[in-house]
Amino acid sequence: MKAGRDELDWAPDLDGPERDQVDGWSGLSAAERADVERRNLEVCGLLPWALDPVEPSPRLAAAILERAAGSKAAAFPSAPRRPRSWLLPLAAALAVVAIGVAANLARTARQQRLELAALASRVEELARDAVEFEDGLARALQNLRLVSSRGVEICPLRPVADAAGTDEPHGLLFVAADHQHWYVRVSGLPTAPDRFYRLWFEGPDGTLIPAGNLAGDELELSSPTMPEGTRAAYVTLETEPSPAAPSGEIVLSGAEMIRLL
Amino acid sequence: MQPAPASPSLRAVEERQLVAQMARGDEGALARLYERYASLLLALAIRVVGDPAEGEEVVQEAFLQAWRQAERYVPERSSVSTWLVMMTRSRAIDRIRSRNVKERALAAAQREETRTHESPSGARNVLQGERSKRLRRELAELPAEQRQVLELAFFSGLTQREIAAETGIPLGTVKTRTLLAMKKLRSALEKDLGDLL
Repeated sequence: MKAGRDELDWAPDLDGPERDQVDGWSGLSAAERADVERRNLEVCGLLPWALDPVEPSPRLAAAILERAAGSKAAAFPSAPRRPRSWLLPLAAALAVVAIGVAANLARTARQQRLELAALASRVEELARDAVEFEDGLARALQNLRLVSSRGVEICPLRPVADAAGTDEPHGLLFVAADHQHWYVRVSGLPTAPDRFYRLWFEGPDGTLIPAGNLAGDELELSSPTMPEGTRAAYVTLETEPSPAAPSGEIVLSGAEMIRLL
Repeated sequence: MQPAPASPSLRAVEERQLVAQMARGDEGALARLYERYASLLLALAIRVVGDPAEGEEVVQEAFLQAWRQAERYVPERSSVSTWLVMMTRSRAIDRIRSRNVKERALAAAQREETRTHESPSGARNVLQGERSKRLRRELAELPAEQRQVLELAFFSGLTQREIAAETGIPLGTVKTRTLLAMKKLRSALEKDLGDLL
């Protein structure tokens, strides 16, 4: 088997006067001649690129690698152990598995980030609910203390017009013994979209003083202050949220104060 | 005259490293060179010997030779791809010479020349890389008489004297045509040569 220079010398009998004519050979330095020769050789190396490539049969690669493994082992018996031919497909398979695992981990991490974000949002929502619940509980306890306090007075709020039936609206105004803290709770009033149930206290001179709008499902309201000398309470249905004087109909009123123990 | 580039392309450096790894017994490096060049070398082998099965035998011999002689590879003498091409060509030409079937090779050359140049824009050609397209174009643009002597010298392994004898063209004319073809290709393929050197 030939090897080395013979194989690279693709046209050993090309020299002659023709090289002078074509390449100006005699005028070239040794380095320039070597460069021309090298380039000619590389041009030859490119010529097969003009052919249609032919896919080898699958067994060819295996045969080459198998024979290569055997030949090198015989030539270099003391050489370090080389990778076995099956290591290539094994490495490829491991690479595929690694890529799959990485993709799966990335997908899982992305899903976990989304779940964590949803959980964080839910925690914030629960915290807001807890604060609201705590506030509501505090108000309820305060109102409970008020309605159960010694010397509390109750003022029933009744409909101004006759309204027979079980759904008759009614309410109770609790006034603490200090005549400052109060709590009112009303039931049975029909829903009134875009209108407002407003509580008024009537002062000793008959002036009506706004005490706020009844809000919430149970239409309740409380405050630590009450005008001095209040003698009656009214609930009106207003079209404006905070009028200074009542303009709507009176739906509930109460002027009788009942003192409890 | 184009001086050689100061530094080889990254691909050339990588392939030299692969050969160096082969010299140290790394079968993975052999596998990578095979993956990169097997179809090209098989096309060359079949072009020379005229038979696909025998072409595969040639390619096998060439890769095993490269495997065994990797430590003898000299980067200053040729690129790795050219080294593999020339080994494959030599093994293929050895076969047709040993069987004394040069006529068969000539006939194969004629068939290949006809096929290649009859359908330069066929569907398969579209799938070729830029280098393949460029080689086809530049070979097609050579005068037919120059292309003929070049292909006989390279693919059929004929010497200049044998080409003169086969074609009846004076030896000096054969040499001039071969040299002219090489000169044109050196110029036309400057970019590819820059990648290899």
